[in-house]
Amino acid sequence: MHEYESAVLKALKESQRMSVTELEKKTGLSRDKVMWAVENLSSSGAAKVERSESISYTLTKEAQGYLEGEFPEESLLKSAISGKQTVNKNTDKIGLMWAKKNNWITISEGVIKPTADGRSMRSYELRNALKSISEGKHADNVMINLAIKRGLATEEISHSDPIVSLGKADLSIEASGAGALTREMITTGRWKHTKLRPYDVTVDSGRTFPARRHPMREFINRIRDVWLRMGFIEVSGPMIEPAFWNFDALFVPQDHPARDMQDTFFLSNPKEMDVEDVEALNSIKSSHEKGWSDQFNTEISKHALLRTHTTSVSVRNVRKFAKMVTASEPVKLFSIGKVFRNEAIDYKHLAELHMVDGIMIGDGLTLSNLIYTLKEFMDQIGLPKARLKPSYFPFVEPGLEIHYFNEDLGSEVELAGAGVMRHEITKAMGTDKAVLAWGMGIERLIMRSIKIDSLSDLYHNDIGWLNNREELKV
Amino acid sequence: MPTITLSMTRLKESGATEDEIKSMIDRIGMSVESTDKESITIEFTPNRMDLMDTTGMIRALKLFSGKRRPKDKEYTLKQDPALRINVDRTISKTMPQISGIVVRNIDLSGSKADDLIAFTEKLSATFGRKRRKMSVGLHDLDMVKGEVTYAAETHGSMVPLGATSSQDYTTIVNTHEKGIEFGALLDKKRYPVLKAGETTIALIPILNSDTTKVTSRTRNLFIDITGTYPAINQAARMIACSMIDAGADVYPCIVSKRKDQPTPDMSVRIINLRRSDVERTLGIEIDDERIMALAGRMGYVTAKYGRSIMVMIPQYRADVISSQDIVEDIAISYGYENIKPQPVFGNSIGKQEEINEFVEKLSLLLIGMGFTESMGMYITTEKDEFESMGENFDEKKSVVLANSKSGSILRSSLMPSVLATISASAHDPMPQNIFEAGHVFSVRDTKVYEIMMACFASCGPKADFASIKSHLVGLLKPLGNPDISFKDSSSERMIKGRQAKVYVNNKEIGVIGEVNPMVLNNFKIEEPVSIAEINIGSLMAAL
Repeated sequence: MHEYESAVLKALKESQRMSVTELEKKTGLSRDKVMWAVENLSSSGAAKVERSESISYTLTKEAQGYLEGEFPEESLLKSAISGKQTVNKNTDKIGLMWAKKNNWITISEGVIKPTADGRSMRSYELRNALKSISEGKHADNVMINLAIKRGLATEEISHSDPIVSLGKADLSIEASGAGALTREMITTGRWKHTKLRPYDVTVDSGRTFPARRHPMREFINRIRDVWLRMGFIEVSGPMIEPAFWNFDALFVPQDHPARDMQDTFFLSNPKEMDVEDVEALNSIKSSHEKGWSDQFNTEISKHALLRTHTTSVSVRNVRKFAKMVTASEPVKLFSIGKVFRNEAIDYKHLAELHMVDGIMIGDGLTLSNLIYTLKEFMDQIGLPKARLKPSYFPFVEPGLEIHYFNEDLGSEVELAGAGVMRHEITKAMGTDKAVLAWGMGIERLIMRSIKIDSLSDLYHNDIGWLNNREELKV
Repeated sequence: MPTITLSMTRLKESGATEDEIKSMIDRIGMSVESTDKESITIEFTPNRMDLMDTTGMIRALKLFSGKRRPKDKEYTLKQDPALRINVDRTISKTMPQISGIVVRNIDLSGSKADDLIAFTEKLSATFGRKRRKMSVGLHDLDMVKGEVTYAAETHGSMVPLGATSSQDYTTIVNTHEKGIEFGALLDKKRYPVLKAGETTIALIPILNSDTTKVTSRTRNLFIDITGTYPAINQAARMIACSMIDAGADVYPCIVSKRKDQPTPDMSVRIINLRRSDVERTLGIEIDDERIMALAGRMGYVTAKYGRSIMVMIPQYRADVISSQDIVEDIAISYGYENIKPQPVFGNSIGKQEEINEFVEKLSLLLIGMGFTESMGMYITTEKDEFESMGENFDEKKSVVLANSKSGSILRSSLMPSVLATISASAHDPMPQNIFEAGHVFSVRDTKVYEIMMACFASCGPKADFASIKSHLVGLLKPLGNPDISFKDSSSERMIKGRQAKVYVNNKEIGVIGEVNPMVLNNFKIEEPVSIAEINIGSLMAAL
């Protein structure tokens, strides 16, 4: 037995039951040493430790502000009840999110409408809980957890001084048996004559967190691996583009609603970017004028924007590979990157998302090849029941969408768009080969693989969350 | 995508059951969003504008289910023009052009009048680009008295739709709901108006008069379609076809400018299709007869013409540009599910992009040293990006968004993002090690730079210059044992005398140092942070 253990045990045998502080005084050992000895004695059954802890909650300034005034969701509900409200840049996003979560409001086509629950809301549970906390009264646990999660309350756990008493195992103070195996024991061979005391293997030893990838990166890499395994070459392209590569080159009419300021981020610095590929610009101009019977304005093509899809990378690569494709082998490319949509941020929408786009360029490629490739991919990511259906995008014809049944939502979710690229585009890009193209949003998919309330949770990025997050599912 | 709600009761006129209707709409290429007893809401794709119309949808359902066959010349107008629109000299070139049709013996009972109004409104909003390109006005023909003139007036008055008394144009544009919504389309000095005799019956493209209001009792219609060519003609054709399908007699209108022009132009476009177009695009084997039968189910009249097939594009279709569009319709009619998936020929080997492969290698080394990866947003604000770092924002050097709902600029460094993560982790145990790899953006001489960077930081009582330096050396040395050197640097972000520029094989690749406590205060970080930021492209080039 170690000397510290002997000292503690001796003290206990004298007075049966003592607090750790009393043991410190009695033995003259530091608290660390007493605790170490007590742990060892308790794991061999010679001592018993009673711990108690108490939890107290404190409201944050933000919460106090809400208590004195209104919660943002209460304000939002009030104004929704009092008259027509639309979601705009002045709408309080936090209020909107919680009012929606509380099922007080619905949003349809941008208009906020109070629900029956919202109209009949008289006393807000969260408010009641915070009030109880501030008065030191008991509050509902679910509400407390919510308040902590929202940063409205903090939790403090205080440990009282542990009480130690004699255990059932009657160890003689002089009984031998070593705790830690030391370097000295190993090198001198003393271990042969030393009894290594058995530990209680069930005692909690805490948890070490490994450094890890971000779940979004992990998920992106998983998608990347599938395309790599399927023989695709990874490419990338600019995120800041002239409207030409994001829209014109994809045969999106210059007056198409998707090009409105409400949907696309345009830049004020730089305002314009030159389309360096004049040949492509002129060919696309004549494609547009013929196809859409509308004037094509090359000034509009210059407007600098944040790409809204990685399909811009695809069409740039159709151009790049136009002259390099041989008859014997199709070119297979994919690209993963950020895309940007000018949306109000809420739990379902982020202004920046990830997309994966792919193309195959070659002689004799057909819709049947596209369907095969997409089905193969869906199998690989664990969605073998995904369904293909016709749809429309200005840059493909025939066009299709991939839908899958989302069990959480109880409805079908659109996952990807695809099709045979329009000849008006491929010819303008300088190829007479068939081009098969597709694109899909990655955030839609990751929601299946990790439990999060809101897409923005992925970017909260505190170490606690990064450490404690679950493994990604399929 | 826009949605449209159609009457289920009326769609059943196609002879199909509710389930069949839902399934067919899905197979034609739209998504059924919801249904109830009375109605069906569809997310419609903007190519098939003709299907926003209840009559158009019934037609498509009948054709698709084989209950109806497309016929040659079925959409022919009556010979004699029924109305003349005199275009006054006051109408300038920048004002909307006009086209018109007259419809007699139309049944608008029940919900049919509302359905027609809903269709033309949606058509003006979508196909007409919120009336910028095209706008439709419906009038009760029997209330159109006197000669019809299209003229521009500086002032005048009209009884707006739904009102009881006459209001002057300026008041309508400034106070009426539609005036406020669409007034921006006018120059407001001269109002393009449609007059019947002396009465103004429409303020183009804002709204119509109450005088010629259409109700479920209306039997005869005058429809004006204004905007730019060819959109107005395409819309007029779509509406004319719908009226003919509804059993009415449709007459052309004469638009009289310098000379008389009958409108709309109902001529049929023909596209020649070869069997190989279908086979080569879809990857199926098919004969001409089958192609013609499939095309028929999508509304095309076809005829053999030598070795190819003549395909007549019905006048209600404004979206058919080339044979590729017809091939899609044939694929829809064939059923995508019936196309046999076929593997792509050739053996290709996947390959990562070089820079991403390199970033993966760095990430693995950083994880090995105990750094956890975080990922931040690319869109940020001047405050988070510069103010918090104790720096001034220079709008010439940043990528600035012109119209943002959530931020204002693109980030130009990874440091703020990594520090924000540490700040958010205040309650987690120390030490903390974080890294991020991603793009930053800058503008120099109006040229945009998108640069891949990696940033890693330690936070805790022992996070000093030496510790971050040892990690940096630990990261770089495995990359081929390069020469690494350091020179003093002087950024406000870091403590004076405890920061350095990093050189690999004598090329600058990044910076390291201890974060300035002023910056730590801004981020509400209570422990020291040492940090490194490296430019991946420069590092790759230096190795």
